[in-house]
Amino acid sequence: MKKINIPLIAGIFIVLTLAAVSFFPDIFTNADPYSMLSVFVDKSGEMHSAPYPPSVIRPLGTDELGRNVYSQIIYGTSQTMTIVLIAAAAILLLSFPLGMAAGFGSKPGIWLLSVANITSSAIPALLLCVVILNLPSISSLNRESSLYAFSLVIAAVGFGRMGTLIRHRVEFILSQPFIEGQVVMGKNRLQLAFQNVLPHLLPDIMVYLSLEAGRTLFLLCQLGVFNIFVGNLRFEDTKETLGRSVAYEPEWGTLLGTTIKLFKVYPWLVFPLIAAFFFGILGFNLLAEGLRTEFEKKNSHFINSVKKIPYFLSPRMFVKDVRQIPGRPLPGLIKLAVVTVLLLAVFFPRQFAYYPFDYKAAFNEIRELSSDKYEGRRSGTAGRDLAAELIETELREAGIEPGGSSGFYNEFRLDDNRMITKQSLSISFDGESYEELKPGTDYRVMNFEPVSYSGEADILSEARIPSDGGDSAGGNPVSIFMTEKTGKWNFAIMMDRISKNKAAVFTVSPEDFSGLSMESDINYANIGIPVIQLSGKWKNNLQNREKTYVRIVIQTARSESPTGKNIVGIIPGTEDSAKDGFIVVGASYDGIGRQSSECPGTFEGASPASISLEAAKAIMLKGKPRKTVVFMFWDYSDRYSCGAYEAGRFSGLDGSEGNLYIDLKYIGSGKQVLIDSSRNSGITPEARHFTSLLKNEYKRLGMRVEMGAVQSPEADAMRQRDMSSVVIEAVESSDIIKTANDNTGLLTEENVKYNGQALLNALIKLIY
Amino acid sequence: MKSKTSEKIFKASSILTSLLLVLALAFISLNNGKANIIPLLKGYMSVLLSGSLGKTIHGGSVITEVLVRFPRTLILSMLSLVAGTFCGVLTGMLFSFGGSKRKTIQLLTNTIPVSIPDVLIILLLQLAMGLLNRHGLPHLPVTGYGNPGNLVLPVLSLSITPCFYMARITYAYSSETYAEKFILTARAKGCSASRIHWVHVWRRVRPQIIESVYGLIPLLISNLLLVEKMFIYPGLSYNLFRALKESDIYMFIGLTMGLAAVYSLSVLAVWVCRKIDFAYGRAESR
Repeated sequence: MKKINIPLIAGIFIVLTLAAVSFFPDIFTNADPYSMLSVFVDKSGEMHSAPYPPSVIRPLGTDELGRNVYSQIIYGTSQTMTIVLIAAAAILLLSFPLGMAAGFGSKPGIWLLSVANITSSAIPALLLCVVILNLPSISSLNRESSLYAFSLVIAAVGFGRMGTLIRHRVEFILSQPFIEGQVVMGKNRLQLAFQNVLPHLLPDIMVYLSLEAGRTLFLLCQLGVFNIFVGNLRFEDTKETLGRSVAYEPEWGTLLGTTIKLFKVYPWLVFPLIAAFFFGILGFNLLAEGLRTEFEKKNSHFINSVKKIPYFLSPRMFVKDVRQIPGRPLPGLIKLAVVTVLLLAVFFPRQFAYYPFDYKAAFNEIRELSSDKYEGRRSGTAGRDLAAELIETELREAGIEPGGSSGFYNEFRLDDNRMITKQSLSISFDGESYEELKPGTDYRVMNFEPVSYSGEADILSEARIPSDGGDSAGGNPVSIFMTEKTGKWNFAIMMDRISKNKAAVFTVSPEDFSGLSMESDINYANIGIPVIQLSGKWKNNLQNREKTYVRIVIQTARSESPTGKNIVGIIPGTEDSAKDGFIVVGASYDGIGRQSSECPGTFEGASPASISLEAAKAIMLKGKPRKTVVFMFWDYSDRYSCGAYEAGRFSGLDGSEGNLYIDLKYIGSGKQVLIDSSRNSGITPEARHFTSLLKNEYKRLGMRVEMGAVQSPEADAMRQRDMSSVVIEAVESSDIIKTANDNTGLLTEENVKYNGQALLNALIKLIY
Repeated sequence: MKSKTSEKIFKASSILTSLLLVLALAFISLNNGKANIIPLLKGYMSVLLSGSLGKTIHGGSVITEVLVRFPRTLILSMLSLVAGTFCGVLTGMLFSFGGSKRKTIQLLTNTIPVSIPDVLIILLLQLAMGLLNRHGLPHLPVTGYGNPGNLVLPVLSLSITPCFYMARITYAYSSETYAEKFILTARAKGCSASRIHWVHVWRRVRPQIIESVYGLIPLLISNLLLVEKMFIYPGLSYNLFRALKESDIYMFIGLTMGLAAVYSLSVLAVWVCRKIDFAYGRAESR
């Protein structure tokens, strides 16, 4: 009776399952792995905070940020398997030539393999990997480079073992009698290696590769425990991440590294991950065991087929088969078809656009909105009114329906219309000689609260910063918090708890400033005391000082309450928007005004608004979409993002619960974008679909795309209406926005073209 | 004879070279990635010449720190080596009783156990103790050091993988031995199955098994890194990663030397066992 090779069947099943999960994660889960929900209030009004235990909606629970663990494991499979495959391929590339050379008696090959083998058997691979991967040049790499570095280090540590196995196998094959016959026939070493040794070696290589893949996965698991994983933690400061270092991309080792510390409190976070590792390792080991059993069989069809692979792939055999097509058509035709398909896949021209994006028009609009005529489009000024008129005219001429409370406009009044009229800040370390700080480059005022104080200030290091407020915030009326890692979201929550007897609070930014003197943020709006952010260069200056004195004056005045103007245009779809939902595309169009003549807010407002406008016009030209699309242009984005919060109350968006909001932030400055889908509530299928469409489109057009957390008060405002959001931000924007670089000097037609086309392509696929 | 000596010299020099490479990498790693380690090496050489291993970043003597932790790690690794070997050999002998060559046993002793991440075993043990504690049942401490109870879980975790490794080796050697002609002769003479197994087969496989214990040591040292971390066992490797994290170069080197000493002592212990077995075998044959 023929025995069933159970390990082979089980191994193939597990490896194929892993491959299917890697390629088609959407089939296995609908949940977005990036979607975060740190806190939520249930129907009974009870507040819950992540991590959430396993439930029907989240079968394996969530992590600390409220991300679905099951979905993270599913989506992390692809990256984990990529590391495993690259490492296994690198091990093969290193060990195969060395093993062959050593097997044929090459002294350097033998020496190198022996050293590598002895090293790997004497020094634990885990220790070697930890030491090497801890090198700052490797640990500080970005995710993509880190992936290759990881794989290569694992390969460098493990190639000796596989090389030695190959060497012994080659020596065994060369000692067989048939080789002597081949030598007598006059074959040289190279011919022997490729025509005689390689076919017999291939089955063994398959076994070794499978074992190495299992070992790599095992090592990744161990490294994860030591908090060493692909990519590094990124400091993210949004409402969900609350100024924490977050591993954003899902990968098994990364997930294990970031959750293992929580094992004793939340075991459900860790066990599924280790189970995934076990499943993967077992799959590769069973496959190796099964293959070995199969290869040990006499007259195995499988082994004969494997041995034929080099012949099948040989170019000479290809030519021979093609020539024999008239007499023996099948092999030649099959090979010809395979080669044709491969060539077509590689060289077939890719479609750039499903519908052309008029990038020239967008480019001209950005230049127009950045011109002197618009005075930096500061909210409440004549320049802003001109910009609003321009957008409104363009929308009307394109045939887009008005969606505002009065035509295209949705006007609103500011609740708080204070302006800073005077500001000065000096710091001294002896109480006598004061150094005057320059607004914009040395410090920024973050809200509109007045203060006049001269005296000592407390310097509170990271460890001394109170989490519960009270007296521990320092005895002096002014405290300088070295909150570099805490982030403003966390800080804002902390400030809420700190007693209000402070005159002012300073924070230190992780970065140096090169921009403007004011950056209002909604998180500081209701604190009641001024918050001043010092430039990163002051961090070292403030440390290890016995005493620090400050003189600060901030004066504010109420100005005439200006009107905010959000612009709303609607492209109705064939579906019933009330029933089937709609899509909102938002971009701010205002600027910070001409605080500096070189800074007209080209990328802060002009570029996203123009790209959004041209995308709307392109959709109108293409024809009625299936889904209704609302294009919104925010005003007052620079003052606590009032425009977006106003839109949160806008009746035109009633019934938008569960719909998708797409936020365009500072796009157009480069070809690298950050996509944030963490505000995806999970009830909007379009959000997950659109994120995946966007990623594919950016990649297809040759742009670099990363997933990450992006601060977006607009998306936060939309979340209050239970809308899922996808935020797109230009990676380069952190060096541009609110600096003297935010002008047309960095504007290129190409960047506008690629950003606009990627957005339009994804939108067209989503709404038609 | 000459080739054996040169092979040993080659092996020793290879290990030394790789150790130096690791130390150089550690130097670079702890020196904030700056490749210029010559001044650091010079400084370290002068420390070594003064007869000490230098001071830790906290001001303590490295030798004292290493000497405090060395016995802890040595006890843990030796106990695990003995427990793993004993249980593994016993399991392997039981599985191979009567010359069984079942694939299921190969899967149970090889493929499945080597696929279990050691961290899973550790976490399951910790979870089990946590549950016992929650229900007020007697349980073992999951962290710390100080009394024998603290050693049980780390030893158990550390000896499980070696146990399966030894079981597989014992099973393979025993199964091979059953194919030998002297076993057939013993059977023909009417020896009982149990006598054949525990006397004839065991006597034949014993030296091979002892020889293969050498292969356990790197596995054990590798797992030691994880076990000490997870059980917060204040041994050499627990502090090794702390030193790496704190960029404490002298401490890192001192602890690496301590681990190398544990490795060497483990090899020495196996070597002594081998010699005793050899002498016992000779006495037995007389």
